[in-house]
Amino acid sequence: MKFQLKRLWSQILIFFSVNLGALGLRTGFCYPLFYCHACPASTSACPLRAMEKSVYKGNFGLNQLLYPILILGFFGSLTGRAICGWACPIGLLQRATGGPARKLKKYSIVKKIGRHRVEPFIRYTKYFMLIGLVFVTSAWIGFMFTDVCPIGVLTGTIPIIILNPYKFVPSSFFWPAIGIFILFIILIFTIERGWCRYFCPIGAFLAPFNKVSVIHVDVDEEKCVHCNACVIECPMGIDVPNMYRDPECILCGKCIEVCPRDAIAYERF
Amino acid sequence: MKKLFAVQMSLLILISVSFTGMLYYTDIYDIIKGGIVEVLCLSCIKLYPLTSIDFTFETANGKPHPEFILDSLKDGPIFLHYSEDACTACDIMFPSILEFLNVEPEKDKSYYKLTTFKDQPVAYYYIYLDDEATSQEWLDTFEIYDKNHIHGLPMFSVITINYAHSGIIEPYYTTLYGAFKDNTEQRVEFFNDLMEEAFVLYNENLPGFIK
Repeated sequence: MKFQLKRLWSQILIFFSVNLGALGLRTGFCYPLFYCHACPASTSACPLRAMEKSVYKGNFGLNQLLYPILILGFFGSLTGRAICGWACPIGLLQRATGGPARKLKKYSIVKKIGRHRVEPFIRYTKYFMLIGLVFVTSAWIGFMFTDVCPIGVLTGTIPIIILNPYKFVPSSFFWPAIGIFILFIILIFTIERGWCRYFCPIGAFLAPFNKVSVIHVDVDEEKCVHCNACVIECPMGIDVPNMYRDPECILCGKCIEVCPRDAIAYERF
Repeated sequence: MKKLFAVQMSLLILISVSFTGMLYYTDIYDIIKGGIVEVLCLSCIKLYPLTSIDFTFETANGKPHPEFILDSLKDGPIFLHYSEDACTACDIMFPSILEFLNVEPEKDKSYYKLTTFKDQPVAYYYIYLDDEATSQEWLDTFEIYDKNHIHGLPMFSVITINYAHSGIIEPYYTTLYGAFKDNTEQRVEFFNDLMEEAFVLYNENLPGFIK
């Protein structure tokens, strides 16, 4: 079986397993990925919600803070951001919407924007989302991230409206959230893995673990001829030949598959 | 290389041991399950349940009305107020209820008071789901009166009595969810109308109910 097909199967199987709530399976775990517990079929909790609740309006719940951190930390220290590439349903969605974005990459203006020196700094937005919107606003103002989360709209709001057409009315956050959701859709169709690159707070949490994870992607500099086939293929826009445990790498393995000299491989330890 | 290996192993061992310890020694699993997974997060879905004041005889999960509810109904209609930790809509509605029924519960403690509405008795139960001291009998009512199977908070139930098709006078209730109306004044007015309706039914049917 082709490598990317295996990854697709992994994403599909995990998509079904996070939705086993449809069969009545509800657990007290947090997902180590991005999925909303408000989805009628969800089995577990969004780790961001547990984090938000742990600091809500200045109250500090150590257990609720540590619990999602340990779950994410376990997967992070084992596989780094492989969760994003192999398990996350939003990653699967972006895999499906990546086609138009890849076509856009051929235009020189898009290439220029992609290579702009500001682009790497925009990637820090996701860290701001994690610290600012998940922790700071929850502690001082109230829930902010979950009120406008586009993944909540996609996996919670839309299915609930479809399943219960006359039971709910929009809250004051509904239309702003729909606006953000539309921007999210535009983003994932125009920039490959745009959500993972720039905005995903869970990606931000897992990213530093790439530096110490047991499994990582390694480039053999002696074998590499800098053909840049891997750079063109990389959905996260990483300069693969020059990377070492890059926080942006989602371990999707596309670079490994495309490398003509077998210079890139998964490594342990 | 050896240093990194040591860091990786230490991290994995530390996380695994801490996580297992948390699962074993704390009730975090139940807190996450009961407080996040099983309760519909209204802010996550950016929707509020449609406020409908239709009364019904049928309990949401088919179970009979608890004994303490039947006993309280002998004093007057009942107002059940459900809330939980870290719930924005609960925080919005809390002061409105305090003003409406002239009660003073602590936000994070379950509470009971036989209060009054226009000089008539109302049994007020504030059921805070995250308060460990809340009795199981009180907690079970959350499932019993979740009329529309929303499982969302805050939730308010008004229980009165009415003449059922069976020919017996039975508890008759309605349930409202989430934050509704724009300000405290409008909410108090809304609850006033609802409570007046509950009292009309209650006063009409009380003689038959006590018998």
